[in-house]
Amino acid sequence: MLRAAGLLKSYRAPSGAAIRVLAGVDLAVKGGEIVVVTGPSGSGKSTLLNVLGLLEDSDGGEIWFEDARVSALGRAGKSHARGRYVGFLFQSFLLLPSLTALENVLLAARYVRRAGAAAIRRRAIELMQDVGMADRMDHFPAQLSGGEQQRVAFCRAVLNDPPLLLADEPTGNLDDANGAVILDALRGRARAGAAVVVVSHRPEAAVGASAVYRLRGGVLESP
Amino acid sequence: MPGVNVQLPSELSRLLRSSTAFFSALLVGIGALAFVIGGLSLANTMAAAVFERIRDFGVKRALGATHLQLGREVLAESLAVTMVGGLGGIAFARALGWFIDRYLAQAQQLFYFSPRLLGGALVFSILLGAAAAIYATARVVSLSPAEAIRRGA
Repeated sequence: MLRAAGLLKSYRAPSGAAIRVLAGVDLAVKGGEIVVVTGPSGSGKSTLLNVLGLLEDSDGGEIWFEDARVSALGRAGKSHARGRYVGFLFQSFLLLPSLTALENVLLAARYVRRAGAAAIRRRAIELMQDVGMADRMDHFPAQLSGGEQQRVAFCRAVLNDPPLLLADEPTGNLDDANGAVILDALRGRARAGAAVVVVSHRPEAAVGASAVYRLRGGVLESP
Repeated sequence: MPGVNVQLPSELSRLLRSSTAFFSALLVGIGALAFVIGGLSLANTMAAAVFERIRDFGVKRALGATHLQLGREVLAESLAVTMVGGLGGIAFARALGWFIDRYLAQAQQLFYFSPRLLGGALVFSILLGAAAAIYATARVVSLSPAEAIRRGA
C-alpha cells in the first residue's frame, strides 16, 4: 500500500546550517500491517510521517500509494491523493473548535465526497457510536476531554475508509485507558485491511505491530 | 450714502456658491478619508480572519481540500460577511441621516443617499473584502499543510 524509497529531508537551522532529519528512509507497509516507528524527541519521526502523508515535501526520494507515484504529483494532485488514500491522527487532535464533534467527523467527507450526504452522516454516527461517543456528537471540542477528542479525531481519520492510516503520537496526550482505546481502534483498522503507521515513544504501541523501527541518524533501523 | 450697504444679487449668489463649494470639498475630503480608513479596516479584518485560522486550513488540506476548494470556501464566506456588513452599514447610515435631518436640522434635508452611492459603497465593500480574503488565502495555501498546522499551533 505504502512504499517509500530514499527519503531525504533537511531543515535550515537559525544559524543557516542544514540539519539532516531524514537521510535516506526506505519503508514499505502492506494493507493489514501496523508499522511502529520509535525514536527520541527530535529524531524526525513526525517529519517522516508528514512526508509520508504528503503534508510536506521531501528533498529527495519517492513515495508510492499503491501503484501511484504520489511524490511526483503537483499540489492539487497531492491534495487529491491525501483525501483518497490517507487518514491522519495527530497528537494534538487538531479538531476545528467551531465545529461540533459530528461536524468535525463529517469534515473528512467534505472535500472527497464519494457517497451521498445521508450515507456519510449515517457512517459518521455509526463510527462515533463504535467509539462510545454517541452522546457527545453535539459537543464542541472544548467541551470534550482529551480522550474523547482523540476518539472524534479517529472517526474523522477513518470516515472515508482510507487504505493508509498515519498516526503521530496518537496517545501522547492521553491517559493509559484512553491510549489503549485508540491503539485498539488502530489495530482494528489494520485487521480491516488498512496499512497503519504509528509514530510513538510508548512501548505499548508496539504490541501486535507487524514491524517496529527506530529512527536514528535519519534512517530506520530495526531495534 | 452713509450707513447703507449695497450688495448685488449676483454678488450674494457668488458668495453662496463659493461657501457651498468649500463645504462640498470638505465633505468629499472627509468621505474619501473615511473610504480609505474603512476600506483598509475591512481588508485588514478579512485578511486577519483568514490568518487566524491558519491551523484549520492546514487541517482541511490534510483532509484533502485543494487550494481551489479552500479559495471558494473563503470567497463565499467573505461575500456573505461583507454583504451583510455593507447592508448593515448602509442601513445605519440612512437611519443616522434621517435622525439628524429630523431632529437636529429642523426637518431640513442635509443627507441625500443616491442609489448610485449606496450601490457603489456596497460593491466596494464586497470587492475589497473578497480581494483581501483571496490574498490571505493565497498566502496561507502557499505553505505546506504541515507548516500551516505548525504555525497555527
